[in-house]
This record gives sequence, structure tokens and C-alpha cells, in this order.
Amino acid sequence: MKIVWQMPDGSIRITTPCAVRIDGEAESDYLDRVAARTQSALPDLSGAVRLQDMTDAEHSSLGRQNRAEWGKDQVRTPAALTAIIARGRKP
Amino acid sequence: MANLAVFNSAAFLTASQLAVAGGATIEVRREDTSALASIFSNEAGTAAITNPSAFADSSGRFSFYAAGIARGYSVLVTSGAESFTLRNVAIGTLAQLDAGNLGAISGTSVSVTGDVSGGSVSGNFVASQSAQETGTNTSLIVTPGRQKFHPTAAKAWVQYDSAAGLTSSYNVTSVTDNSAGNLSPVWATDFSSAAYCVVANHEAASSATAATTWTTQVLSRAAGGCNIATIRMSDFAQIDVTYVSVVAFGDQA
Repeated sequence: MKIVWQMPDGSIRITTPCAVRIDGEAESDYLDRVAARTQSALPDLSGAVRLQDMTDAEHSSLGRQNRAEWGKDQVRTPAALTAIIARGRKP
Repeated sequence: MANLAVFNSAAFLTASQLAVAGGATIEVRREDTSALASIFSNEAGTAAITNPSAFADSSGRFSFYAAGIARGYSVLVTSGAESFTLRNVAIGTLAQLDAGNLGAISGTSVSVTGDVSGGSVSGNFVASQSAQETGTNTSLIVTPGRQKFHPTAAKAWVQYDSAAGLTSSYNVTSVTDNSAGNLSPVWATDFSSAAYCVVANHEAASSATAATTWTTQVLSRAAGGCNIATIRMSDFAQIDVTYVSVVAFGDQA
């Protein structure tokens, strides 16, 4: 899974978790823990809004070249992000 | 067999008046299993004594040699209708040491010529985090959980690709993809301050021209993470490369 952040300028940042998992920890709890730790450790993310998480497959299908588009779209809601992901899947 | 320790005693009767119990029968059992013990008439342990048997002499005196065991032995002495059991009789070569010899064991210096084995070590044997961080002690045991605190040990490392896909890592919580050629690893355990060393490099296919030559730069550094950029030499734009490797050394909180 990828954690998706929207920056105040509308651009998107993607966090890949790699923390050691705690026994019995649910995936959502794991992502919440990594997100909280990441946001507290990176000053740049202090004003970022966490959007809905993205699967690795969704992230791969978007492609690295769509980063600028993510920023231009000024994503504000999880639904809008979903729409962007859907566009990213198009050939 | 190593030399055995001896047990000496004397059998006597108390029914009417104190009297020698010549030829008394002696039975020796292990306290831990209640099984009949192996006892010997000589220190080398080569001359076995039948157990039980009447091996007290005519004056009631008897002795035997046996190996030291936990909880010791029970010694049953029988003469006629009288019997008495000595419980938890301690027999072992350690009992033949003097107090001065024991000082070598309970004191500050023990010399062992063979292997030392056991479940674990603890207490002052084990190097603490601060001892590891000081890094000068040469008489403590370093354990796997504290090896990392030594100044020469890498506190964190990670290799990731241009989309923050991770190859492998240690002490890293996440890698955030900020923009092309710009990513931020976050440490799982913070450094004690931002005063630590970050070493970063990248892997790319070609470096034949300035347009295909990059440099890796640490843009910023905080106790909890850092920001790394890969920069194209021809125009100084931040550019994705195949892999970036980051290693960090320093003092952890």
C-alpha cells in the first residue's frame, strides 16, 4: 500500500511504508502508524492532508510521469483522487 | 573419571545407651531421583561398593566416594532394629575448597580453561547502550540488540527506486516520493539530533555525457529523517535514477 498526501499547493506525495510490523497489527493500523510517524518526522508534510491510501498496483498503473498531473488537478477529496487514479489507468 | 569426593561418618546405636554399630548396613540414594547411587571405595571411582551393603567396619566407621550432584544424597544407616537417614548429604569436590578458594569464585576474577556455556548472560557482563556509544570498553560482552549503538555502526540504511519502491532497509519507517528525483526516508528510531552523517549515492545505467551524469545531494537533515535529491549535471534538474542508496551514522536517542 501507498500513503497519499496532498500538499497545500495541491501537489501529491506518495509514501511507501517499510516499518517493521507489529504482531497482530491490522493493515489499516499499520498504515496509520507509519503515516503519523512520517508526517511528524518530515517538516515538509506538516501542512499536508492525507488522502485515501493507494494499492501498489494502482500506484504502478498511474506511472511516474503523471506526477505533474496529480499536482495540476489540485486534488482535494478522496473521490477526486480516485478519479485521477482512474485516468491514470487509461492507455 | 575425575577424582571423587569422600564422605566419612560413623554408625552408632542409641536404643539403650550409646554404642558402636559395627558392621552396619549403608544404603545411599540420590535425593533428586531416589535411585540407588554409584558409590566407590577409592577416590578414582574404580572400585565400586555394593549398594546397599554392610560396609561399616567393626567400629561403625564407614566412608565412600561419590560424584557431586544437585540436592545431594540420602544415607540410610541400619543396624539391627535401628535405622537413621541422613538427608541431603553434600558430597562433591567443591566441598574440599577453603574459604580463600571460594573467594576466587565469588570475587572479581574467575579463570576458566574450558568453554563457558549457559542460557544467557546479564547484569554487568553485558555492554549497555552508553558503553557501546562510548566505545572504549574492552571487557564487556556486546549483544545483538546493542551492537548498533557503537559509533562505527550504521544506524539506518535504505535502497529505493525512483518511485520510493524499496529494495531493502534497516531502521526505516517509510520513504516519501516528493517529486522527480527528490525523496525523503524517515527513520524508525530518531537520531538524538540533526548532527549526524548521511552518506547517499545513486545507481544509474550510463554516465557518458553531462546529460546522463547525475550527482546525489543531501538537501536537508532532521533527527527523524532526511531529504535526498538526484541532480542531472547538464542542467541541475532533479531527475529520477534507477536506485538511490542512503546510509546514516550518528548517535541515536
